[in-house]
Amino acid sequence: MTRSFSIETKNHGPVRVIAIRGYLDAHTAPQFENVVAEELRAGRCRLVVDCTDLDYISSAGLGVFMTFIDEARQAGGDIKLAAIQPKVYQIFDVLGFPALFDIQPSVEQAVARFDGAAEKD
Amino acid sequence: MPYAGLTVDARTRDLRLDSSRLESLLESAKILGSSLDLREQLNHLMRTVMGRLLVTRALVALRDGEGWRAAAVRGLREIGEGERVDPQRLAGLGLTVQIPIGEGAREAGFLALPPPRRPGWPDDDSEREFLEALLSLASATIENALAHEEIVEANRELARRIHELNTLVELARAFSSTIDPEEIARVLMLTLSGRWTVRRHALLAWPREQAPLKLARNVSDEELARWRALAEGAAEPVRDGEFLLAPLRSGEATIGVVALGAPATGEDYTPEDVEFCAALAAQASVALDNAWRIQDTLYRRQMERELELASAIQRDLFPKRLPEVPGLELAAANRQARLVGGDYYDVLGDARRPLLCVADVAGKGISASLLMATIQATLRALLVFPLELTDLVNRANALLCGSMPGNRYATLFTARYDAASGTLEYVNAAQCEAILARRGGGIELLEATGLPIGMFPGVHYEARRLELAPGDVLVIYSDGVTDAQAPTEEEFGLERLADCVRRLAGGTAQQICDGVLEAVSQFVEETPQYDDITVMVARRVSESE
Repeated sequence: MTRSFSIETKNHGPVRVIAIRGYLDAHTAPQFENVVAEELRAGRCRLVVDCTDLDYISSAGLGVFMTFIDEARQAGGDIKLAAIQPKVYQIFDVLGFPALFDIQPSVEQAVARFDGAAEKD
Repeated sequence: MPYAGLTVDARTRDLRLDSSRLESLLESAKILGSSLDLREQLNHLMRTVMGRLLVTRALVALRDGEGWRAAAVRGLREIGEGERVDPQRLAGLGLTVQIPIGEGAREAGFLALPPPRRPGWPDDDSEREFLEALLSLASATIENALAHEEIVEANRELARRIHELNTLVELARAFSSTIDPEEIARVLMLTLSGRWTVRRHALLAWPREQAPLKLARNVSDEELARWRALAEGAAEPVRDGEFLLAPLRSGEATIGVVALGAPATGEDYTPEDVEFCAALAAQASVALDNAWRIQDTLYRRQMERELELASAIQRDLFPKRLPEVPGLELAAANRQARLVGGDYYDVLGDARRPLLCVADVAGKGISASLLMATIQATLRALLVFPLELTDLVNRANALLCGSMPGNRYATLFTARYDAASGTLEYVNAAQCEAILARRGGGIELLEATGLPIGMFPGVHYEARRLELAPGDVLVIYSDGVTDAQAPTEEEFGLERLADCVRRLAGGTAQQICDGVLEAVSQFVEETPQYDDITVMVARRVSESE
């Protein structure tokens, strides 16, 4: 039984938006890991992960965020999360992610946080 | 009536005070009843109390197990929220007025203040009554809020548990869908780092018969070496500073370790966390063990297939039938070792001037078989030209040096027999000394005349020449014959072979060939054969035959 998972990346100004859909679990996490690794390798370190259509996330999926957050921040960027459904947010919440990650209600707001940060700098 | 007027004013003021107390209580009831957020309720309580009693310092302590914990603190540098407190210490800080929230045994906490500056305190009963009413109102809602917090926490705990269960099920699925140990390790480490927000982590495995596995993030080789040493003797998770180490086990042995740094949330691993981590590590251990075993089996199967193929190639290279040479009886046999060796024999060219060859290619398996095919093709191609035997071998050597991979070579005994004259010319390129049994019983050994072929391109080979008299027998063979071992590990050896040939020399070439193989078989008994055995017999027939 394989549940569907898909990834789509696009530019939103200077920010890269990665939309993840469906089930991000131990099966599909390596796929997501490869995509994020590729973005960082290409020097795109301002990332917003659009979770609008994310139906489920497991520890392995969360592990991808842990894997790259330091790298993105050290490169002067960040991995921000946006538009997480309440039932998915609960998992982020119980495992303590809100304290470590910038989580915004919408992709636009998450993107704007980058612009704000740039102005402050 | 100034006096009476004063009285009216005082009464009015009292009435106003009363009505403001009632308003405040009503407002408090509304606010306290409308929220389940403990913090909001305590904030409201503090504002009201401090505003009404004109105090700048106040503290609400709530029950925590057997003691009290500061839940809201105002104007006190000495105590932080969340800190444990006791009434004496608070009194020592000047908070001498301590009023319980809730009653008797169900007391949820207390409010502590310095003596209020409001005029009339503590004699003004109505102000105290108001405070007690407010606190009793608050106690019910604080308890509700506390119960709500507990439920929220229980829900979070439940969500955590469900998440853990999902993780276990999901990992089992992910592990069963791959036989790649690295993929298993990767999924495990993603899961663990996600579950506990870990930035520094590693997986190290050192299985007995497989390549070691290493996945590390933000850790040093020094740390990896230390963890390996720490895990070696451990069956249960152990700690190394901030790191939690969970051994990977295969049967009774530790074959790896998973190391997790401190969670980024700042919380440490609870005993439940350690247990869960150990469960995941155990699950991964089984998956890794299986993956390694499957790889092992696949590798062995592939090896076997390769050997079968090599063996088939080799069988096809041997001549189906030896040519009829006038005045010369020929017989040859090859017995393949289980792990295909590299022996090759052939009789090539013109039947009146045939070329007898016995070669042994270094190495085993498919590459040795292909090399044998190359040697055969080279010799056949060169036989088209009218070459002297030495030229033939020189050219074959030069050609093979170009086409053989660096460390490959072959030993070769090759002889050209001239049926018209009975002359035999031979080159022995580091092959075993062939045995020439003269009709009269004498034994001559045809020793090496040069280096193996395929090694040095510029080498010139020497040929020797001899006469084969009727009844003379030439036995060419590979080292599989002389190296054949008895159960005692004694080798068959040249002497035993020469004796055997002398004894058999009266028979036909076929009888001699069969007799040699039979003697070897009897000698080795059940000992497994490690190398190919090849025997070629050429016997000049006597005129009477």
